Amino acid sequence: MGSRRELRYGLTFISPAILFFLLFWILPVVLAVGYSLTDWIVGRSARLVGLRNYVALFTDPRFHESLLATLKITLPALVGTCGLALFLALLLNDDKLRGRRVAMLIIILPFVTDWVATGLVWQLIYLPNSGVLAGLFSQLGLRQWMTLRWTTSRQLAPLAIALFTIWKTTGLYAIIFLAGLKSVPTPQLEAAQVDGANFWQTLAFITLPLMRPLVVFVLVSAFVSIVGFFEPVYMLTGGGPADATRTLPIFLYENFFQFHKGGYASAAGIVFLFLCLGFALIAARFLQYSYYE
Amino acid sequence: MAHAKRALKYLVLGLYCVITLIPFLWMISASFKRPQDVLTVPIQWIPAVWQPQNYRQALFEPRFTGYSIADFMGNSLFVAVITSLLSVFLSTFIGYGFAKFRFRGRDALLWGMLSTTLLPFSSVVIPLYLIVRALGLIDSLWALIIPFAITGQSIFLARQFIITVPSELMDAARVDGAGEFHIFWRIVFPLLGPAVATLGIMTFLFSWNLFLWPLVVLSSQRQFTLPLGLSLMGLGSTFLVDYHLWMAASTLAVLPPLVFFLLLQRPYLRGLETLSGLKE
Repeated sequence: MGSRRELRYGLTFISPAILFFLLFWILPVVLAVGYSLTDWIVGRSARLVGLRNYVALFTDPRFHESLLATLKITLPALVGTCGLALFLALLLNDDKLRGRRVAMLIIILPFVTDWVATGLVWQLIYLPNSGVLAGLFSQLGLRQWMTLRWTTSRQLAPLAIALFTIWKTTGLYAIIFLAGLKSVPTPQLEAAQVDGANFWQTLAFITLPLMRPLVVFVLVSAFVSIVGFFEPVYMLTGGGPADATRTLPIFLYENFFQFHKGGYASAAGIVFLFLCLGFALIAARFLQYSYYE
Repeated sequence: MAHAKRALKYLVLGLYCVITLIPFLWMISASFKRPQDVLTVPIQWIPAVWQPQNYRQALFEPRFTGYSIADFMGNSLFVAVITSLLSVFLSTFIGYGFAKFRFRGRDALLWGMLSTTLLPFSSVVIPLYLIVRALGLIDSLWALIIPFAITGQSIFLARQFIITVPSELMDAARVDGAGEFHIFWRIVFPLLGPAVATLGIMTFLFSWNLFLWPLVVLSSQRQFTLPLGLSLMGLGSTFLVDYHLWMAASTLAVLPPLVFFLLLQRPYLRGLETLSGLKE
């Protein structure tokens, strides 16, 4: 069993993946970098303009607005999703709990269903005066909240999108946290209890440190997916009112597919891609040992 | 004390489950209503008049240029099924190479491929669009299939499953003179039932729920997938928005992935755990 043989067959089996990643990952990025250096308007011919698109991007107030909007939605959605997911996982981590399986299935339901169908429902949930939230508020005696314009006011729209996102994605991370909690060895937990640690001390000093790789995984993957979500914004506000919810994915989509600014949008896309890539590579180093141990 | 704690646990979990379910329950209830009963305060949870024919109307009534939600559903099924099949075969084939052969650069390659899963899809949409356009696949259903037939996730999942297959089985076959492809196809693949179920359900759900990608690559309504058709349902309808039909169509869109998920919940949840890096 020479290592040449291993190499030959190994490469043969993974060759479809190598071709595929070259064609659908490497080449596209090279293409996009190329276009980002031109003044290409989709449908017309392109001319090289050097780094002009990048300069324009970093001085574009709409790009700054977009970064701000992304932050305003991502932060509450990330904190809400991860916090709630951990909380639910702690509640569910109890073998004697009845109906645990059913609760798990219900909690992950929003995640396995699609953004558009649930987005249409959430449009109607948020309708002022006659929507589902308004109906619930009226039954709870909070009539003054019925008129809240969830998706059309600058203050509430980012929150409305964050709430929809939290509802949609929390289940996934709750299930992952739960699996992590189950893998924490019980002797350590019992030792902590014998030493008189209360629930929160055990969580902070024993459980979470033992699941550190998993916590990193959840934070990283929740961050990159929430930062990149296009659908909740598209379904609820379309980026409005004004620029309040025009997140980076919406910004890219509009510039390329609606305004046809191929060169400019490619530059913005490359910036977004490399921001995420840098983040992902750093995160991947953190994660490495958790995969290979 | 312990009893009170447990009761509180049930209460909080129950409450969260109800909150999670409210949008679904409201959707189903609205899908059976008359248009004027959909948005009422207080909410009518039980329709005053039941209209199951909403479903027939939502499903078969031509929407825009003569295509109906049923046509879009057919496209979605086609795309999700073909993508899942391709993914199962390709990922296990590739995963076998990563799991059972040792060579320089193997781990670096796997890492490169796996780190693509840490990129949001929206950050690669423009580059991917450029290449798919160059390949002449714009406005074709294959544009929704080919780029997702192999993903870093599916390769990693397959590898994690295949690594647990004992190498002695393969060595024994090699001694008998079997070729490597024969070994993969006749000995390893038949042992991968659980991996196939996991890969299948995960790819199916991913593909069925795709929205941004079909939105940018599809232009003719003949090709629309269900989420895309659904998002444009408001167009071309009567002045009064047909919310009851929207909700019937949404219910129909949620149904196939839900049934499939409930049937394959175990492999699906196991897949999530494997992807999170937890050992079996």
